[in-house]
Amino acid sequence: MNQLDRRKFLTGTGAVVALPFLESLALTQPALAAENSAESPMRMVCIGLEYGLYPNDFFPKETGREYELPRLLSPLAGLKNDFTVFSDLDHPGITGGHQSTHTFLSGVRSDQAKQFPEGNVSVDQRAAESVGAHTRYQSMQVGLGGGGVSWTRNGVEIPTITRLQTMFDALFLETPKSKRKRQAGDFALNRSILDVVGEDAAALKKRISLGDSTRLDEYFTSIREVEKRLEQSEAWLNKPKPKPNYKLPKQPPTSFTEEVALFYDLMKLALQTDSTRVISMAIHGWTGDSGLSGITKGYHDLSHHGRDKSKLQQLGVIEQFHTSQLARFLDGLKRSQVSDDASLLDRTMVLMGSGLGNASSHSNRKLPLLLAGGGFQHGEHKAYPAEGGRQTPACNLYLSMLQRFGVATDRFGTSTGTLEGLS
Amino acid sequence: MRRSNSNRDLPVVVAIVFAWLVPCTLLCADETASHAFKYVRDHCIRCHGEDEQNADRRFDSLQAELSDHQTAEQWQEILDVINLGEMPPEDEPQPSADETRRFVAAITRQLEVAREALASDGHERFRRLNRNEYRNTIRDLLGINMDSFDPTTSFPADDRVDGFDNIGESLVLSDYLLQCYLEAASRSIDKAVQSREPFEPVDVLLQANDFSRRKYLFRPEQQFVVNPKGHYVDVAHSEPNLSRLYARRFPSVPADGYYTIRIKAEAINREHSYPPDALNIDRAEPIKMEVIATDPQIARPQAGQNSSDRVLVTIPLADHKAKFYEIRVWLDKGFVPVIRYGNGPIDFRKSLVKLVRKFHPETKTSNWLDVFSTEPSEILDVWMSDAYRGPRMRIYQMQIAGPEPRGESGRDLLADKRQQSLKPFLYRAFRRPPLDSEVTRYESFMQSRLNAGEPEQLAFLTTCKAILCSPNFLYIETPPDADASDDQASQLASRLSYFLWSSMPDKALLDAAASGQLGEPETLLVQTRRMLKDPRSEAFIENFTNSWLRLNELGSMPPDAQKFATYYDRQLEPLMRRETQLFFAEILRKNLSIEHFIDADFTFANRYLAAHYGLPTIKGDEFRRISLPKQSLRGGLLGHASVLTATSNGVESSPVTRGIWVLENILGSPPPPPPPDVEPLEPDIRGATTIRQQLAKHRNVTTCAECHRKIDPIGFALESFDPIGSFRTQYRNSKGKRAGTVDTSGTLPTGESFADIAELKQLLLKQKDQFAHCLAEKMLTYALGREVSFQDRPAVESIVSKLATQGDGLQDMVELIVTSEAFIDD
Repeated sequence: MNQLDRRKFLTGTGAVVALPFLESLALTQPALAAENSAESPMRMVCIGLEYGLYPNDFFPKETGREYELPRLLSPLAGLKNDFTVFSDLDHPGITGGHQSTHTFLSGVRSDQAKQFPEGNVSVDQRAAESVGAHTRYQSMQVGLGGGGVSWTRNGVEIPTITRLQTMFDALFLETPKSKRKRQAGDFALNRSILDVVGEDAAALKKRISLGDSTRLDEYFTSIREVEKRLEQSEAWLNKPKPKPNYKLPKQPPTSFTEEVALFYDLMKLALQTDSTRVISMAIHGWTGDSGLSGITKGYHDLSHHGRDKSKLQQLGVIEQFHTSQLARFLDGLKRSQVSDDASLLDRTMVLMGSGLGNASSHSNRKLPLLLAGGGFQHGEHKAYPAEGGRQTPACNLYLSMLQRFGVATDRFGTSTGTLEGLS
Repeated sequence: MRRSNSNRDLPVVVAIVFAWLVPCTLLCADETASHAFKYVRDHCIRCHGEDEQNADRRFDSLQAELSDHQTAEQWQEILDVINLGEMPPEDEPQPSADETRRFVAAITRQLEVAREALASDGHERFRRLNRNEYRNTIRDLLGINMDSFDPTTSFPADDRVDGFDNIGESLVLSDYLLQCYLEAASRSIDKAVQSREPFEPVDVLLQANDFSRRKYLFRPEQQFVVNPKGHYVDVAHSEPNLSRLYARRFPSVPADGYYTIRIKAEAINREHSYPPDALNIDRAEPIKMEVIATDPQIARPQAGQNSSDRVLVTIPLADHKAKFYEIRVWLDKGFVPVIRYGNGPIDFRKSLVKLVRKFHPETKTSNWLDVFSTEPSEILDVWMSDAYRGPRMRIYQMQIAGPEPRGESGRDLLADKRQQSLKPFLYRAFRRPPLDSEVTRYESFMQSRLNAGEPEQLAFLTTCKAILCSPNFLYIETPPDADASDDQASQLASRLSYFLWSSMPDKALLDAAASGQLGEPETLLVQTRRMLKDPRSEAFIENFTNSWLRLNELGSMPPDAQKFATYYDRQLEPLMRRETQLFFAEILRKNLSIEHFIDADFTFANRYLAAHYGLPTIKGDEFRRISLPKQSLRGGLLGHASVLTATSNGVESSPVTRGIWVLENILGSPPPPPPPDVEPLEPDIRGATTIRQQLAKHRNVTTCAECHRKIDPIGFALESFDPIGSFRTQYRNSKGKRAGTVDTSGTLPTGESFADIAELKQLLLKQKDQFAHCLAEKMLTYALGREVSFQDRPAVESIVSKLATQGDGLQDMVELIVTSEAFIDD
């Protein structure tokens, strides 16, 4: 049975029936090692940088395989065949600078969401929907120094995990039995509350005008979704969490650099233990100590460099830190085997980029985008210059990612097809 | 930057395309329509047609029949720009006056007809409570003090439409939010029950030894908190992340309620003898003691600030005079008060190391430089803490007594936890009489809980939780029965209370609705005036100014911490917001003319804000009304730092953003978005060109010029103010060096010129009528919780014309809105 069929089979039979089957699968084949690569599920990690990456230091000059690594990509030298860097992709029609960086993973502004069949759902959430109850968490969102990059299809920004301990506990801290019992009671109570308010809503529906019924449809949809989630959470409640060989430092880190590195560690562990298959991380910046030497100005201020040399130099230090951390993360995934012939990186697509193409001019054109892993053919710098005035939407890349993830869809956001030349 | 601008490298587009032969769907039999169509074809379509869609507008496929809302809105827009004389552009062939008059008359008539015809397919009648409204409604329904309790913290932010976060259409409900509602209902009911629990009052005296037993300090690594003699504690630093005074002996207060806290304290060495810049604090300012309520469950109270903190009071202390300070404050069960030095040195360790080296070598042993040493050197007999002559807050003792007995706060819906109490609870929670079927539904829900073995009181509370998740609670103005007139009265009551209080109606208002009189203007006015006097109307002032003036955006692009240190040192952000709120409140409560928003001879400030504005020195942290000096540029909203900061990106000011802000929020004529293929400006902060030169280049581009000639001049006048609203005459580059003189002059599209913001304000005052329109539309939007459409034009016109005859008072405007047909019959 291939990946997609199995998924269809599971969703078709419904979550409740599917769970015992999965459980037995997990018992005989621990997610970490025994699954062969055809069986090992696909994962997705999306990393968004609020202030972009300086274009001159990010985009290579040559296209194809034989390109010279620009300054920001140099930390990734050892992984050159594991990633692809894309030029000239962006979100058509999106302008507005900072106010539009939230379109990074959707291509759609939150205030235009209504005009799109799937709203401004971000690519990670679109993927997460298909995971269902296979993992403890459908997805995880991390946010450093600001909001997140993940949006639901109703146009709601998903709150992020901001503390390391929160993420660690979510992954590994066993919920005490008394609390689990209480939670089970709460789940049952909430389900009966949803029943009675659902009746209330059904009665209300008969008394209202047509215009108002969209409001109520939202309400009904939400009830069904919450019920589904309650079912899933109930099922996971009594399954033990994995026990990692990893501890957070006793003292929480004081600098941004340490914090970022530790979050990457936790993200790797979350994937290794199959606690979740979809993670997004938004990096805005630091509030306290940056942990980087030679940084005398704020990140946001530096991103408005106006080509000032000293500012660009400092900005380069920060941005190179980001790509070095990415390299470290990718390397860790590559060293982690999920089967005889596949590493965790082969089964995890990692996207790094930004909704801002040029922070200094607040441009949302030509977004910096880099995709690693996920079993794609890598090692190239691919450029997509506009043809006859038609720009290639970044959503084409996202659509390719979704299909690889196993989502049966032929459109996403503003996509016009899958991304040409990526396989 | 909110909107982008054209790139200066963009080639000048020579855009003269003669496309007279327009394929169109406009041709129709009606004579009026064909006249109108001819006018549009002759004067509009060349730039707004198939080939070009300037300003993103295209009229060649516009329907002549105003058969739907969208078409009608488009015709309304065409009519507006022609009425304002903005179109066709000056440099285009102009229609004759007669032609225009006939066109305007025809379209006006058509729109009137369309208003009638389209009146029936109404807008959405009910909308979800937004976050503020939810919180306030819970407060008023359950009688909970919300100072430290907020059930909405995990709610996602509500979407804003043109700044407004109460627009029904964009208040969506997601499964995530519904889960939050389940959680919040449960927490709120539990909190309400907890706040009604019986309690034993306490009266505890905490003394110096309870706070600290450290007698001395010999290393700068240690926090400067010492208790040298056993009867007072000195605190010399204000590090937010370091220790605060907390007595382990008193873990927390036993119940929700009002407590009396008495603290004996003293300010030491405010005017210290070290060099003025040695500690980086303001010696002229009194030493301030901050009393904070904090939750030990969230973090160790003594360990530094945490998310549960709430500053109860900040008290300036008398110099070298131990005095008692008494406060009466609300504390939630489980919270504890802690004391902090509010305005002392930050980065204290660094300063202390330097000071000791320079001034107190006698305390300097090899000892304290050795970070591994834990014992003082034996030969050392002068402690650094004794030698130090810097400022300190000295605390002798703190007494906590309470809570006070609870007053009877009217009818308590949770007092009698039995089935018969469900009906009154439903009445208040749904803000209307519940249907019998609804009462039955929740009664049988309660019965099912009883059957499942829950005791009666618990089953009642569980049912209340369920009611708080009903759409009838979560949505405002849900109809029990579409026809009954008393239902409409309940809906009107809700509309009024969410307008003026951002909360549910109180008993008096619901009673007025039940009496059937609320629809009458006299009753409505009596209620409106009563409600405006109620403290709950603060919500209107706060939420409306946040929405109309976009003050919610303050803080969304935080000013750069290095460039604008005072913004953080002085915590200007809340002060800025406060100024504008007090200013609005003054105009509202004294029914002053709305012209004051454009120019006024007064504002509100405290010591810090006055200093920020360069106004004559005033003392104290309290805000007061001050008269502005004659030549001051601060009069009116355009001088408020809140507005000037919210329209900047935290690093640079942008004349374009500010210009658009004025067009949108003062003049009510927002420019269309720029063409999608235009690259934004890249600011040149090396100082080679000024923003004015850059914008001048792209005003030469035809496609940009039409809007930017309206936007830019206004923005230039506001260049007198930097990104946090400080006055400036010079630009500075990233190194702080002068980079050109600020030029604030400009010429409006009307040809009127001005030298600076003061003169621009005089020109804006001439457009008072347009401003009144803008404000009326904004307020009506807020009051109705929906966007104002072409349907509401007559209502707006009538409000504005009545307002002018009544003297332009702001409270009059509120009253005119409340009594307008648009509001009563919505």
